[in-house]
This record gives sequence, C-alpha cells and structure tokens, in this order.
Amino acid sequence: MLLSALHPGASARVRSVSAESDAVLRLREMGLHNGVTIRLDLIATGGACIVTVGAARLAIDRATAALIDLDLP
Amino acid sequence: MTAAVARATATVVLVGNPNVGKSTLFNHLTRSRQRVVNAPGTTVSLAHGNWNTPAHLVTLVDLPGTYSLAARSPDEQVAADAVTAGDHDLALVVLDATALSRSLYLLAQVAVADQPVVVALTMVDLARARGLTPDVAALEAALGVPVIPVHGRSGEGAAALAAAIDAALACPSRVRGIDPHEHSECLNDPLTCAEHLFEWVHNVVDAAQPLAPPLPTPADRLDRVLLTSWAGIPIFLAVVWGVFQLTTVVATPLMDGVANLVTGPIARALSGALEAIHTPHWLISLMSDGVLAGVGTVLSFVPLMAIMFAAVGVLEGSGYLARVAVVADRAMRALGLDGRAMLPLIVGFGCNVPALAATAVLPHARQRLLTGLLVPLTTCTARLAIYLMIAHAFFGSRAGTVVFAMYVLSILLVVVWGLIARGPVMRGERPGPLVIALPDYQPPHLRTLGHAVWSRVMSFVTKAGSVILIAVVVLWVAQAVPVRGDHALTDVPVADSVYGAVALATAPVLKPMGVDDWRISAALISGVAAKEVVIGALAQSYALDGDDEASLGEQLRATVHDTSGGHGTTAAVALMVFCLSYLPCLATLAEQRRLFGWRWTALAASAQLFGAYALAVAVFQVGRLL
Repeated sequence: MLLSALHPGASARVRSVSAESDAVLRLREMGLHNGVTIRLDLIATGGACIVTVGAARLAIDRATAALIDLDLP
Repeated sequence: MTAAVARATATVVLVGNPNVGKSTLFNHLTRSRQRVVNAPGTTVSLAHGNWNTPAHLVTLVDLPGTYSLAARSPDEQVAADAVTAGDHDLALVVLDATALSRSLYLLAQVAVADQPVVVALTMVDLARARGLTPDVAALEAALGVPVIPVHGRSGEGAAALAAAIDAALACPSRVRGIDPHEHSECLNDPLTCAEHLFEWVHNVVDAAQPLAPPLPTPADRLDRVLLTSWAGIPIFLAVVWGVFQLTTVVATPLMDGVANLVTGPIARALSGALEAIHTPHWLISLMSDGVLAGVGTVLSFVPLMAIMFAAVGVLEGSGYLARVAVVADRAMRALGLDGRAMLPLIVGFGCNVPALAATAVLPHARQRLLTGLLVPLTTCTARLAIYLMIAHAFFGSRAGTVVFAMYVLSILLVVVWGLIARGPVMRGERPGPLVIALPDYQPPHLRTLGHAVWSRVMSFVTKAGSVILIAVVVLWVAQAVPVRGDHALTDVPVADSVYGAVALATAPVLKPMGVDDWRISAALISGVAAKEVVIGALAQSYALDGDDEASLGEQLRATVHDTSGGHGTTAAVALMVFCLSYLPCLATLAEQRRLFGWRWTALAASAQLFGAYALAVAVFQVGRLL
C-alpha cells in the first residue's frame, strides 16, 4: 500500500521508496528508510501527508507520498 | 590575589540539523560576543562567537543547519565544506533527542570526515513528553564520545559542555563504530554509504532510546487545526495580515517619529552649531540636507527593520514557519519556491525593505535570491499614494477599480518574472519534494530573539545604510549645483539644477509612453530615492513652473493630455504601470545589494527598468488605438 492511500491514524512499515536516488537519499536522511515504522497523522491542506517517524514529525507532499510503498502490520 | 591563567585558543564548529536548538545554544554560549560574516564567496551568513571555557578561548562557528553533508544548496554546501575542510579543532554536533536517528545520520557523516567530536543533546524535555527519553549513558557508550544534555534556553548543561570541550581538545575522541577508511564509497555512491551509515544509526538508536510509539502531545492537536484547510489557510492569512500591520500601522509612526526628530530638532541643532562657528552656507546645507537627511533615512528604517526581524524570529523560533511551508507549498511551487516564500512576498505589499529581510525565512540561498528579486514587484504602500493621486485625477469615481487593477498587475508581474527568472537564478535547482521536519511549537526565546534582531539591524545599518547615505548626498549635490542661470550653490531652482537638467534630458525617453514632460521625469528620478517623494517632487516642479490656481491633479491631467496627443487616460495608465515596477527605491536597492551583491542587484534593476518601460510603452501604444 502507498503512503498516499493510507488512512490517517494508521501505522505501517516502509517497504521501499521508488523515487530518484537523490529523493530517496533525502528521505533516508530525514529518517524515512526501509523497515522503519511510520504513522500517518493527518492529511494537510494541499495534500501533504503529516507522518510521525520515531518521535519526529515530517510533512511529505502528496506526489512523494505516492512513491513510498508500505507494509501494513 | 588571582593569577592570570593563559588559555589556549581553539576553533569549534557547531553542526546540526535545522531547528535542533543549535543557534539558541550558540547564543547562550557566546552571548553578545558575536559577529556575522558571509562564508567566503557566498551570500550565506555565518555567525562567529567567542566562548571562554575554563581552559580555552574558543571561536565558535555556527554553521547553517543541514540534514546531510551531501549538500543540495549553497547553505548546506557551506556547512559541508566547513566540516570536511578540517580548519577547526573540534566539531560540536547537536543531536535532537526527538529525532535521534536523523541527527545521528549527520553525526555519522561528520565521523566519516574523520573529525574529533563532542555531542550536545538537545530537546530532551520534548522527547520525554513523547515518552522517548534517551538513555544518555547508553548513548555515550554507543558513540564513544562525550554526550552532554543541554538546554539552550536555560543554559542548563553549559558548564558540563565547556568541561567536555576542554577535555576533548586535550584528548580528542572519534565516534565509535565508524572507520573513515572503510567508507570510501561515500564519495561516489552516497546511497550505499547512507545504507551503511543507517545500519550504524539503527544500532545506536536501539541501544539508547526505548522502542515505543510516541505519545501524543499538544503540538499534534495544534497541527490538526493549523494544517487543515478550514482553519489553516485563514490562520495563515491572519498571521500574514498581522505581520503586514506591524510593518505598516505600527512601524509608520515610529519611522515618522525618528525622521521628524532627525530633520527637526537635530537638524536645527546641527545648523545652529555650524552657524555659530561661521561655517559656509553650502556646507551647512550639505551637512543638514545631505548627510543628516541620509542618516535620518537610514535611522527611520531601523524601527521597521527591527519589527520585521523580530516577527520573522518569532515565526521561525515558534515552529509555525515550517507549517507555513506546508500550507502555502502548492501555490509557491509553480515559481520554483517553497511555501515560506509567501511571507516576504506578502510583506512586500507593505514595504519592500522589511520584505527583503523576511527572505531570511527561506532555507536555501537561491530561493532567498529569487524571492528577493521578486519582492520589488510587489507594490508597496508608497506606490499606492502615487496610484491614488493619478487615478483620482484621471478616472474620478472609477479610481478604486484602477488602483485594484494595479494590485492585480503587481501579482501577475511577480508570477511572470518568477517564471522568467527561476531558470537563471535557480540554475536547474528544482524545488525538491516537500519533505520537511515539523519542529515542536515553542514560545520565542527573548534573548536569542534579541541577539538575532540586533545583529541583523546592525548589519542593515552598516551595509545598506552606507549606500543609502551616499546616494542621498549625491542627490543633494545634483539639486544644489546650478547648470544655468546666476544662482548660488544650494540656492538653485529645480529646473536650473543638475537634477533639472537630467530630468529635461530624459523626458524625451518617456515620449513613447505619452508622458514626455520634465516635471514627470524629475518626479520619477526622485522616486528612485523613495517612492514617497514622487508626489512631493511633482508638486514642487508645478509650484515653480505651473498654474497656481489649479490643483496638482488638474495640472498633471492637463500636462499628460498635451504630451499624449489627447490620450490622457491611456498615458496615465501607462505612467502608473511604469511607476509599479520601474526601479525599486534606494533603501530596497541597498538591502538587495547587502543580501545578494551588486551583480544581481544591478541585473534585476536593469531588467525591471526595461521591462517596466516596454510594458508602459505597450500599454500606451496599444491603448491609444482602442
């Protein structure tokens, strides 16, 4: 399942990110890497996904969220 | 009796992610012993400060916040270059306890660069609120370098940090588990390098932080309001409106007060003192109408700039600005900018000078540059006065609609120039995906805010102020020196001065716009000094060379009717279009030069001037055919 299709409040584990290598690297640098568990908190205005990774919160735009594949628990 | 202890000097770079409390810690450690310099060959600011530890005189360098040493922007490049150049004795790496894995990744890169390290751990209280308190002893054991929990605002932990820095300078330690020689792939394969470094990061996090879902905090609930469309956008607009009000309604009386003080009592006192020592009249005029007027102009901007810098600091430090980036992202992305660019562009409709200051909210130098070049196209309130006068003179009851159209045109110009300029300015640097950290909300820290406002205002006064002062004196000379007639220096009618001669010579250039009159060209030249003086300059010229019985609007209408061959209203629209964007005022140009250098300032001003001229000519030439 893609992050863009996840329901707010649900948690999932990142399986893969199918973006260009630079975007993948940036996501990893921000803590969003394969195997990490994330929770979708809400969809912001404009479509950005607000997710919790560890104790930190990230905003990820809709297009990028559609490149992040997740495994549901 | 105390014996003086000679302390060794050392240079320490402060490295960390954005919004980890790095600058707050820097301000606490260095207090007022700071100076802001540009990184060599860039417009990226670096703060240097002096920090006296028990055994060392430390020069602390606050590097731009970055998530990685694989730089993607000039700011990140400055941080990466500083770390890898190794021109320092120690790297003080700030880890955010609420985002440990992200912070540790940067620490791992510093370790790959083979740097001796001390770690300052911030945001421990916020991590505790989320039920994720890190085990400091376990973290220190896993890292193999000193880890000192600090609270940048209260200064808690500063003494322990100073002791750790002294110990590390005497006996440097490297991060455990990362051998720089085993990570040669980091140079040519950053993705594989990141994989390896994250393995190390996971191991450290597993050892030092409980594995549990974070507890909800008030920040989560606030985000549910501030980031959603039903409330987020109205609140964002209300915040921007508040900043706009601060820079207009609140700042204007303060600016007027300073200007009146300088041009009133201080100017009178200066003139009186100079007369008392029999100073020549021209020198008194130069000092009071030239130099003092220039100083007054600079000082009158100080309250405005201080208010703007404080507003930016509050928005930034509170964590709200990151939410603005999310809310306004979609609208600004088309111009190659991120959502935060909305703030300076809206402030520009009040005054362009603080709007340029507000570009500091943008994280990357090229985004600041592009936004800073677009700011002068936002039509400030000084230009509103010009539109109102012309629109009332030519359009009567339809004046409001015409003025509204000028604001719409201003927005269109920002969009069009943004689309044109983003190529050469951004140099292929596309706005990356919106992936930003949302820091916890925090009340502003007054001492940090005060330091930031003071250093930025001083930078404006010394760098932009000198340009404004020189320009005002040059304008005085042009108005004081006669080119014809038998006039004494400083006692010259406008038409007979160098200024008048230049206006007369440039008036024919305005013919294709239908407004080739020396009084109009003189007013436009004055408008480069400040848009506020355009109407005053017109009134002054008509007082010397006009119909005393008619109002200024009536006289202007008669002039433009003649110069345009009977197409007065079309020429009036062309004149307003030209006034909208022909050249920014001196203060704006000086601030642009301070932030972006002469080359970009001159290039942007030339492009604006020619663009405004072409547009105004097109408006008149097409309009008169309709």
